[in-house]
Amino acid sequence: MTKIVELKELTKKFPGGKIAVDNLSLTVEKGDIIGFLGPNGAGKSTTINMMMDLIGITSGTITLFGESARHKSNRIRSKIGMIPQEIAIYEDLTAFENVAFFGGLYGLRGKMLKAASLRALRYVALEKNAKEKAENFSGGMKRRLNIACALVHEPELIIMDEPTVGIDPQSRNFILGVIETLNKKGITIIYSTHYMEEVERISNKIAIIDHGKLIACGSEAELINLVTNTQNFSIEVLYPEKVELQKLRALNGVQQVQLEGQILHIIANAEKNPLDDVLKILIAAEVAVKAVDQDKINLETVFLMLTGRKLRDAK
Amino acid sequence: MNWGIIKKQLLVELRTFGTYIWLILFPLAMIMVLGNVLTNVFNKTVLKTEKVTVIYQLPEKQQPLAAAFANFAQNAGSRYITFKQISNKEVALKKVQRGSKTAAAIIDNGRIIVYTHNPDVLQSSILAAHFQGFAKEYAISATLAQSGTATAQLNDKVPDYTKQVKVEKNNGVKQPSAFQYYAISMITMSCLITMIIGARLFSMERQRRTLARMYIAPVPKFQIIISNFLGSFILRACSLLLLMFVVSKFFAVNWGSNVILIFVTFLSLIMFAMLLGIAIDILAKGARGVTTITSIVMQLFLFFGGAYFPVSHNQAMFSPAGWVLIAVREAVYAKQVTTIAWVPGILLLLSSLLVIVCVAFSRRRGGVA
Ligand SMILES: Nc1ncnc2c1ncn2[C@@H]1O[C@H](COP(=O)(O)OP(=O)(O)O)[C@@H](O)[C@H]1O
Ligand SMILES: [Mg+2]
Repeated sequence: MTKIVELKELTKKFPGGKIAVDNLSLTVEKGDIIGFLGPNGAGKSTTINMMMDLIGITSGTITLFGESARHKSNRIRSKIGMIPQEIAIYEDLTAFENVAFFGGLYGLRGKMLKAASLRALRYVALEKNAKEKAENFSGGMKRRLNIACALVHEPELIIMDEPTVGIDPQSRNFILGVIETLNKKGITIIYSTHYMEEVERISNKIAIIDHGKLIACGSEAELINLVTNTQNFSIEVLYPEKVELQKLRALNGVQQVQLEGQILHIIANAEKNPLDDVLKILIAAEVAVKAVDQDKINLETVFLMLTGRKLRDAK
Repeated sequence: MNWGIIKKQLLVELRTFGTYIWLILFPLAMIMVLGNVLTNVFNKTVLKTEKVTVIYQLPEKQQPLAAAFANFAQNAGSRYITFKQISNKEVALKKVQRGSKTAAAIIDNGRIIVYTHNPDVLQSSILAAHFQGFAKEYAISATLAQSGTATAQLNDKVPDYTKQVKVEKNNGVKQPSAFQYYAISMITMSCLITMIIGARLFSMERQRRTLARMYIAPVPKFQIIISNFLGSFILRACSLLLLMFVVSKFFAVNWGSNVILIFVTFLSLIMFAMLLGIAIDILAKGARGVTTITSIVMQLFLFFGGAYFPVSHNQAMFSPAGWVLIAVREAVYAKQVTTIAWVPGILLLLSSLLVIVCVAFSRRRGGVA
């Protein structure tokens, strides 16, 4: 397998002292769709910015296509397309002008540039809107244009930083489809997101990042195997304010307890099944148990197990 | 240089409505408003307080040049300038030195020596225009000498004494109308406003993250900076041209024969102002409030430079806008090119220093993402 990206003990400490990326090592191979999964502030964008040489590295190394990313050569630059987290387009320019401008920066000219620009727009289904100004686009269309601008020079590696933030489910589905199509053509993709469902759907490899650290990395099955000895319950109660979380957490066999509205999420050791004890405590506290479910183990469980927090609560 | 980036910048700015407001409509509106509202004030204060007073001493013996000058002096007096004969040279020089008279002209042996002491721009323009007008008439070259410095020599080739001296009122002096005065001010101002455009040029790209997109492309950083700047600068040059044309067509501003020099002077101010804005933005690392700081610096330049009301020559020297105003006013009113010859040079020199500052500081990483 060809290593496309190799991060070794990568660390970023911002001038204020904040350590945004902490000793992070990981490898991306040709053909991968790797999902960087982590809550807001986990350090995903900082990692990507360091890979693109947009901010300096505090320590560690980055190797791209077998070359050091320091003083990145034009050859390497041309092989990478990056889609920033924010929509980075010119609102005053048309979709075509936007794509053609960025294509031009990669040395494309004349007919080649025109063809490449139209092809990039076709990927994201904007070729009909090629002559419209970007400022008139909906949020989803802008996101798609944002992606097209990074495709025009036909990169071998595409790095996407939360490309689906703040858009409707339909546009999101469309974008995920685009990513899958690109990957089928042999393009390696790094994809950062805080939506678990997205990585579950498209990634063949998932890197869970929290507080700048790589918590775990592997395929979905591998990650779920990490917590194979666990059970996942959710208990619906009528009076959540009466739940004594401390008591529950102290129980033998209980690994994580989270209260979310009227639902109590419990991760427990499968061998020492503590469900009976949990229910006793709940009944004693008169919380009025309404339903008990055993949940499927998924990435959310993995994240909760490894970090002690739910993905969407994490700050 | 990267043509793609230049073209992009031109397109983006041409499609921004603000471009037209700030660079064309706003200055034109200000010229109209200030010109109309302040015409009275202008005529009463500016020219009254700055009336040019010349005293002159004639030789005891009759001389053709002296006779001609006496004739000229009697006829050339106007609202803006008076000529008065005086017999004692020492007294005359004292008066000039004390500032109670603008200039003293001593005529002797076919030479005119003019002594002045710190006249302001308009005064020296009016003065120069009169003496040059007279000198031209006699094919001699008059030189203005600062009081206290070595006396300037006048060429004493005076060919045609017999020719009757005929001096028209306002000889050689273009009356500075309020429109013209403020047209020059407002164009100077619109050149200086580009400081804010400069300050926002890269901060906008940074905010939109399009700067990051350019920086990750295989294009050298300095090429990105220079090309982005050039795209914007070309547009400023065109709008300056348009503005100068419009005021000469519709506000009776006569740029005169030095029009190219004047254009270059304004253009060098634009270059300087934009680069200063970019430098401030880069040094401030895109912090908020950069636009405010830039506007304050700009207003100070305009205030000290005398864009809003006439200021002393010394005060104007504190501001690049002042240099340009003095240079252009001299070129327009007095057809003098002494100041306008060095102002663009200095501004270009300062601009190249600013380029070095910009490139040096933008090399430091960390400000992009
Ligand atoms: N320029 C910066 N200066 C200081 N701290 C920063 C800077 N950029 C990001 N951070 C901090 O670094 C952490 C990681 O941020 P980021 O990489 O943007 O997270 P993510 O993309 O995973 O949401 C956050 O706590 C954030 O506040
Ligand atoms: Mg981010």
